Amino acid sequence: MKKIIFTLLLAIFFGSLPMLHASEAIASLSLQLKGIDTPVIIEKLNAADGISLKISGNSDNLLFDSGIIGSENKLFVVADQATGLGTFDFDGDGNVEILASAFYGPKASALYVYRFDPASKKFSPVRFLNSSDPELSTDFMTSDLRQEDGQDMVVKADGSIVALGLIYPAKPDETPVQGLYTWKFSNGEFKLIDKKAVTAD
Amino acid sequence: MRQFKRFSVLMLIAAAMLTTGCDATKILDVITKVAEGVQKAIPAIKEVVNTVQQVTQGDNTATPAPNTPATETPAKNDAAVVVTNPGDEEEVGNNPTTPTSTGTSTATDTTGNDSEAALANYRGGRLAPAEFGRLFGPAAQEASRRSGVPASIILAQAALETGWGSSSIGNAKNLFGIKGTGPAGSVTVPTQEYRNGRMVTENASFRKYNTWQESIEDHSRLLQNSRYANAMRNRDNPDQFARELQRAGYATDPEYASKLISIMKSNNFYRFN
Repeated sequence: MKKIIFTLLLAIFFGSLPMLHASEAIASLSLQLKGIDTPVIIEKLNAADGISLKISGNSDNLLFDSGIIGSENKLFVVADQATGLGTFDFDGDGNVEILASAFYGPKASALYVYRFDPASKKFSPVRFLNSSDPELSTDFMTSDLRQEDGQDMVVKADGSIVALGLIYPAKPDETPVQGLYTWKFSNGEFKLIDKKAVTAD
Repeated sequence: MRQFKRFSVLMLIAAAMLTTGCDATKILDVITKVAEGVQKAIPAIKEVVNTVQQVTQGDNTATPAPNTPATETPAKNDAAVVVTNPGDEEEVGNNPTTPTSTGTSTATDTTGNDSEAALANYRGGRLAPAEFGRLFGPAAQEASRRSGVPASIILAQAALETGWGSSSIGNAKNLFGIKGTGPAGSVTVPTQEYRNGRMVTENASFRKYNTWQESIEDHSRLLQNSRYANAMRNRDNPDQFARELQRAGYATDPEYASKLISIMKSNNFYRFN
């Protein structure tokens, strides 16, 4: 009996190992960036351990690996289109930034903005500044009111990004309310420029 | 047994090398993931073993021993829950139960039963902060023992999310506003969603739980996500735990961590840790 259980456990173990590294591309795009001679390929991958982003150049050389950015694919809106992977030129330098989103729970999703630096030829996430406590600044924007259609994280034509999220009261004598948080790119990072409670029309 | 352990470790390393093409970083990654998986599974395995043991003991005992704690007898509701209106907060008795983590006396058991009964009888509605702590404190402590999430954090998050219990999504017993389907199904409630630049009222499904404890356990389980690993590394420092939640992107509100810390401080929820 012990041998059977042992064999079964081994079979499960070995059977599940390949799944740890199997991943599928759920979105991809090709970009020509200033500072790189050949187009780069951006792939949003879904694997057993989560969602990640990989950017590779000529001959499949890996230029950037985001690491795990969430557990489930998530949409956001850019140019009035819902997508999980997109671009927008926030800093107006002629090189678009790469946008990718993911859900990780319990309620929250993140939108990452990756910027290419032609001098160092490296990609890095753009920071979202927490002005009240800069140590709590993040490499992503958060929305804790998930909407499947992606409208909880919207990149507007003027370059601002709006997140739907809860506004918690200073003291919990009241319940949290839904609000819109607006971020704007400035001096290499996103700053929160507006936060307002919203109600249905 | 020792040989079996050695064999398992060797097999693990061999398998990791095979699946990663002998890349040292990837091998470590695979081993870490498997180890994490085993670590996460240990509480569940223990629970199953305990359950099996209890069942086995129950089968062997035809009649319960006289001094067996009457866990299946419905506890009397001595600890009635006082649901307050927003203006009545100061009128509610301030009688927090000092938590006991290791007590085994009959008196402690009775208090535990009373706490559970009180929580079972609570139907939602705004509570005075002291009452909130007294009611949810033991359940938060139990969840904390299993998950490592500080009890003070659980209480502060539940208080902030629900406005001291005033909004737990109908009868869903959902203390953390988590969408989806829970152990008791889901509750569909009108909520506001953002559509083409304006807010509209639409229906959304939220997780429904059989008990308040289930809601707390589910939330603590969801925080085991690797996203919150830094928070979990600070389980002995609730204030830092709150900051790491914020840093990991638990909430949109940039003031979320400071609001949690403020609640923990002003109500001394640390005493539940």
